[in-house]
Amino acid sequence: MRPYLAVLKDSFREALSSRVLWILLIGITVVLVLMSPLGFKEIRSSKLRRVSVRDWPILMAKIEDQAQRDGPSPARQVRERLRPEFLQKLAAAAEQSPGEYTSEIVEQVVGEINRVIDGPSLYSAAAWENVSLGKEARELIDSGAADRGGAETSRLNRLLIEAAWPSEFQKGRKAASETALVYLWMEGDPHPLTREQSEQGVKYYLQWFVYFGLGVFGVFASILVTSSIVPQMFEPGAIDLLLSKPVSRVQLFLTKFAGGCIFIGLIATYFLGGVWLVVGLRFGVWTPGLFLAVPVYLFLFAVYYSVSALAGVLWRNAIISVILAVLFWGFCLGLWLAKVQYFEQYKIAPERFVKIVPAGTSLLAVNELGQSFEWSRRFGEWQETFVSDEPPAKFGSFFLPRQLYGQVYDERGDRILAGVQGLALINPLAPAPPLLEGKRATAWTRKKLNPLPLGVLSLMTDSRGEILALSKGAVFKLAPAKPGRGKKEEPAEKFVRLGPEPSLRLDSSASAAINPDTGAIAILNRGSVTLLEQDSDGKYNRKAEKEFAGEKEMGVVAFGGNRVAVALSDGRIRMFDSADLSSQGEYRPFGDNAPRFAASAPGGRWISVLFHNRKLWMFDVQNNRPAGLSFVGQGDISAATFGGANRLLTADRATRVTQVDLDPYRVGETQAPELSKEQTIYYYGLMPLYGVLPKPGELNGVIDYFLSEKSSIQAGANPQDMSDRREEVEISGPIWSSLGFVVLMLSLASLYVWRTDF
Amino acid sequence: MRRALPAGPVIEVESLRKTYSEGIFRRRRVDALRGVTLTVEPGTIFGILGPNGAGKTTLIKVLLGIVRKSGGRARLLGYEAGDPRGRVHVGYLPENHRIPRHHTANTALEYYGALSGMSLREIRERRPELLQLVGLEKWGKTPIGEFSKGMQQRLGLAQSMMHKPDLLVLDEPTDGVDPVGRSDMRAALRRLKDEGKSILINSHLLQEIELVCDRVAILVKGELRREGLVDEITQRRNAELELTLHGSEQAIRGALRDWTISAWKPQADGQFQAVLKIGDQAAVDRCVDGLRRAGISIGELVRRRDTLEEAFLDIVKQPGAKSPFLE
Repeated sequence: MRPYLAVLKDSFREALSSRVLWILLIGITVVLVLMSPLGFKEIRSSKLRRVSVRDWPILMAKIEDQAQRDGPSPARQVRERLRPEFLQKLAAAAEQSPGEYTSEIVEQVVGEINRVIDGPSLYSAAAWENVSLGKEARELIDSGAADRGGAETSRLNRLLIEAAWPSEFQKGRKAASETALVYLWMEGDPHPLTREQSEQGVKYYLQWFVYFGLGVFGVFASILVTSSIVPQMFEPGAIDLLLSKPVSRVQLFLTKFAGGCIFIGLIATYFLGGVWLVVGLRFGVWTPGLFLAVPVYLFLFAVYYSVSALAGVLWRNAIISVILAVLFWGFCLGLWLAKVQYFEQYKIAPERFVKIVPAGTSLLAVNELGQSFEWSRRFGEWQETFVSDEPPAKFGSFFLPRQLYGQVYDERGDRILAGVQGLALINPLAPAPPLLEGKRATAWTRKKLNPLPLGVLSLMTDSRGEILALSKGAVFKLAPAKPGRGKKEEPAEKFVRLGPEPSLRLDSSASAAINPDTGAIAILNRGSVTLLEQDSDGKYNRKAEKEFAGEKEMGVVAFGGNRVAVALSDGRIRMFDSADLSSQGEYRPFGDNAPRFAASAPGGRWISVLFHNRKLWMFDVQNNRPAGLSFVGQGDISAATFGGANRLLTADRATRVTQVDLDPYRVGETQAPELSKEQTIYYYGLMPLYGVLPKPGELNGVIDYFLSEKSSIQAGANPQDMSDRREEVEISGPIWSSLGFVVLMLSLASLYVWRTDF
Repeated sequence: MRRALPAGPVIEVESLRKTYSEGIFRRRRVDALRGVTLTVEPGTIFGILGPNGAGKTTLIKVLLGIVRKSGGRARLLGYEAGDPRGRVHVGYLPENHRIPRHHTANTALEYYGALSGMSLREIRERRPELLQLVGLEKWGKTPIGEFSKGMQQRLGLAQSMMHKPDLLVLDEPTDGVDPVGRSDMRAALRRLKDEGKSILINSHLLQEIELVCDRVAILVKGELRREGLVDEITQRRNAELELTLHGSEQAIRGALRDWTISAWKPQADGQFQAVLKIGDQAAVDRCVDGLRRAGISIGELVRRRDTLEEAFLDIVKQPGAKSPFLE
């Protein structure tokens, strides 16, 4: 043992004598010192903004409801101050589009509430009796701010409102505060960020900082610092001396290697420890996960160091070692950039089918960009369809990758219908988004139909072929407006409200599914499941409701037979009986991978959940257990749709659609176009090479995982939408392949060291 | 912890062969050792002589396990060559050794001492006396990068003696060392011999070997040409007796009639210098007796033998070897 400890110590001495090391240490210290003045500043505000409240319609509905009850309450205090003409407007809006306000109304609501805040004090001891008030609010009350008027009263009013409906507010680190970034005397614009948001932001930048600081620059510097260790050991004259000692050659070499790693690990710990302290002290974000980045980074370094060491053993020249290690580093980085950042981002991922729409005799599919394709049997390829007859918008598909959603096939009209994602977020004056229609008769050419109700979450077809739209407030049916009016054009259609009463209050993160046989709808909203059932008139009524998870739990829903499957964002799948929403089991097939889509087969025998890691999970409702089938392209499945009671259609390899009979399992027809040039390079060139070589780029994802404890990275724009594309972070894959590579390099080097006559 | 030295020889080599293969595709074979057999008994200072490329360093490297043998037997301190246990009690100073530049004399001794299994306490105790022994006591904290060639050689020697080895293997130890240093080194080696240690020296500086070694082996082109006591090798041939005599030329020639006079030189003051070809000691005694009986006084008597160099050159140039150097 003693000789090897001496070798370790010697590695340290050697590295310490390197000039690059001292430059590195000074550089790290300078970076840490420069970083330390950066921080957050809390700015107290009394005014509300649109983004201060999670969902304005829900807050206003709560105020309205609670004000009706007897006795003093915060809601009553607030409602009393609202002007009658405003209340009228609000009622009209609620009637017109339940559950959602137009942008204009939101502006007015914000203005009205701010007027109330700036007015006289809302405080009454009786009304806020059952509300827990923060320290600041209590101090303001005690100091008599309520009677003084002015800024302090406004501040108190704001705090009182927030305390009354805490769950509706985007919480800053302290109540009613905004955050601004400061550096020395410079101050950025304040943002009403929630504590979680600002933490996420800090962690996001931290992750990139750590990645570039350590993963790119650090690795490069470490290669320089350590590259001479192994070649120097094998220099003629030095190696004879070493080998004449009573030690094993291979252990000697491996110890030298380990010495370099440990040394670099200490430097990385110094850097990360400093960053951890600065971020913790200045931003209040303590991320112990940061230290887990040390082994990850060390591992990353070991990958390149093993190349450098092998070269050092073979050529015994530090320059060759450095050059080879740096070349290899550049090659791996280039490969990763090409695969992940170029091919997958721009070539493969956007073309992936995310929805398959069997449309009568045709087969349609929708890709990640929202473009629709029809399978051409004659040419054996997918041809773009459902294209607008209007000239395309100039920047449309680039800036808004998912314009269309909810493509459904309307059997009765032999047409496809789709919604356009609302532009209201970007442009408050944009008109309500329309429903789009493409008839087979006109080669699926896309046309604008009547406007959709506000706040539509999804488009669905029920068992009778009716087209339904679920908004944040209600279910609508597409019905002929005035049949028999005798217009030349097709009869105008209109969305008719089908209930339920009172209106739903859904979040924009809500997810819903229709039972293809009964038309009943299951909705997941803020951690609770609501079941809506159709009565004989076709109206929807609440049948059951069950709260089962935390408020922020998002997920996707499938509803087939008597089973409601809720796949939650943490990777759990909960099964409920549709009669009483009693729990029927819980599954977690792919760890904490998040689900993306869920579906159920007509007849209710099967329920499928497709995860963001592109793995498909199938549940056999009849036998009440997971089906345990192995699907074609598992791991690369981007869409799955039921084409019948026992038939599944899956899309893998971006655009290959396979039909599968489930019981008995049989793979049927495949619609596979020829691979494009890019796809060929990707699947036959990049992928095999990438599979064999270590994946240093992906280790970044692992660091991210340690920081955020999330296993997927949002790739789309909408974090509230489970179906938006996410990049799954592979944790074990890159670790195993990199480990294999390091072991191979070290084995080769050890073999050479063992065999050679020095 | 220190084990008793095995009773047998410290080095035993029998029909040892080593063939190097060079090049990956067109393999070129070089026979560095072609069946060498020799034994080094404990307590001797053993010198290996030979022209460049004779296989001297290869022999040492095989014994230390740095190079694998191709055939034959090689044992070091009772263990098969290459067995780490055999190397525990060996100190080695390689030719053109290179102690990494980031060390000082102190840290280098600490490093190599620890590699031999010494504890830090043992190292700290041993270090000052060793540095003094090699004359580097004032240079302990100096980085090796600032050392001259001779100082590095001294440090290399200190390193090899650090763990009090039973066998010291020195490859060209006096390279770059000044005459005073060489004399110091010789004194140190003799002291080690007195302590019962064995020393194997590989050198092309024949005078050094002659001055310090008990036994010598001469290697040529991977073969052992001669092995024996230094005296044996130098005395064997061409021994001469140089006499300065007082007397008449006739009387002297008469007294020396039994011997071959290889040189005759009259000197001033009626003296004559004669060089006789006389081999062993008995003949010398008889010759002196004869001279004294004839009443000739002996002014000076010098026994002249071959220097090792002459013997070496003679051996190396023996038939069977076209040139002492490998082509």
